[in-house]
Amino acid sequence: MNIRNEIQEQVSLIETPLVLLSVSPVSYQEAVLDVLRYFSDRFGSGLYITLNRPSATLQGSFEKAGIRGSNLVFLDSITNIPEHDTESCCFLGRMRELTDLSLGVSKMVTERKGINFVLLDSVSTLLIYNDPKSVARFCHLVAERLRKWGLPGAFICVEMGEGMDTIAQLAQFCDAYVKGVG
Amino acid sequence: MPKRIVDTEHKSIDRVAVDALLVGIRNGLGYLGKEGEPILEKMGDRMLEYLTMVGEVKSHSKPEEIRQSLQELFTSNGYPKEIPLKFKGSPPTPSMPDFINYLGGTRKEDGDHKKDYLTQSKADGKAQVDWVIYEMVIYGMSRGLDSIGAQGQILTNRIAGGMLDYLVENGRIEPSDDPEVFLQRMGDFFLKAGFADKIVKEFEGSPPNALVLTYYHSRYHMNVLPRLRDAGNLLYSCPPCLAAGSILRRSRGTRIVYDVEIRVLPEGEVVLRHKIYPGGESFSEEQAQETSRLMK
Repeated sequence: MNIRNEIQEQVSLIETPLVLLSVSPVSYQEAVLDVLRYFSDRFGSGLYITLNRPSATLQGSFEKAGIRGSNLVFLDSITNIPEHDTESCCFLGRMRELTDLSLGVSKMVTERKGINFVLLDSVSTLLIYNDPKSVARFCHLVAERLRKWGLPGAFICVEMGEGMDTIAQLAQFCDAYVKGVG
Repeated sequence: MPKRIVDTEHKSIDRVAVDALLVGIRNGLGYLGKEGEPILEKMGDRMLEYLTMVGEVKSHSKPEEIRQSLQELFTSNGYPKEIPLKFKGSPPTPSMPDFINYLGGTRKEDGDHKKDYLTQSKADGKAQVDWVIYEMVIYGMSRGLDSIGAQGQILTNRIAGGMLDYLVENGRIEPSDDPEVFLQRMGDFFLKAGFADKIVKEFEGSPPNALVLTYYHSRYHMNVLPRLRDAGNLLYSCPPCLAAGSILRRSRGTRIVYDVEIRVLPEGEVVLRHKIYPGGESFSEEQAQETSRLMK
């Protein structure tokens, strides 16, 4: 079963689902496309928080996969350029602190129109420069806010042979835990 | 793209540096089991791509000519003659799906990796290989993780940990409980192995918030890193820098974001500033509450 079908099976009856997606490095790229297809087909336009690949790279790969880029706005904290906003993207600067990220998400959701879901790609990237406890706390805060805003969303994690405790913690406050296999 | 630098004092590198990285790759990805094989295959293909890129193998050559030039390169560096070269498609494109095992001295037999000759180089440090082999392994390792983006740094760091362990276990780097001493010994190993003409280490801040490393005539920084960045690769894979990160992580619990600033100066000098994040919580309960209040 592909990831899109797996998500569909687990959350189709939930109005604003919060999904934790954990995939192996081998299936990561395909999984990202699957989760994005599911959310954009069901909810329309959304916010893509990219900590892992520059938004320009993602836009190219989404377009190639037949996913309409115009349905997305990006919060980009991986492209190595100074903080600034464009029509489709808010560039925060590379690997910003968790407080800045939280406030960035809040600003995007409240100030931009048409955000009907939020995807965070990826939790694993945060573990490069943050401790697992802080990453879990950040995700919990974002999850709480999504509930308050009434928005569905997904946290994407890649299984790296470590950080499994974090994944277990995140699973507790999500509606579904989807484990993608290669 | 700058021409590959080949005319510095060190034309070869201690083969144990290459072997240690290969062991690190296999151990670092070991948790994936068979699922990790596509990544290893991709790394192998990117290694071959590097040899073509720097002109060791002519891309327009006929299959037999490619095989011959690879055999010449590898046998002259002490590797077996039977290279795992395959050709796919039309026109035939060369591929080395089992490259990592070939270089690491293991062959896949009935799904198992049989140990062959890996331990050959560990004892006396006399075995040397051409620098292009080391460049090729680092380039292929980094590009093989392209598809997972920046988070691939976690795997790269694991690989470096495995590499460091191998060098310690084989007596090439003497460990120390004092990270400063351990770092010095690790730097001395890479210097002696032929990684660079000179390596200077400096910490900024108290407690340290940045590690500044200056390399003189480091072929990784001159030949490999620019090619990785040109290809859009986001990872930082300089073995001594990663080993330094590993030592600091294990001894002080700190985390490093590599390559925050890079300055390439004349005379083959490269200065890198790596940002150090302290151990402990980066987002406390109090910070989370305060941030929650600020969020609309």
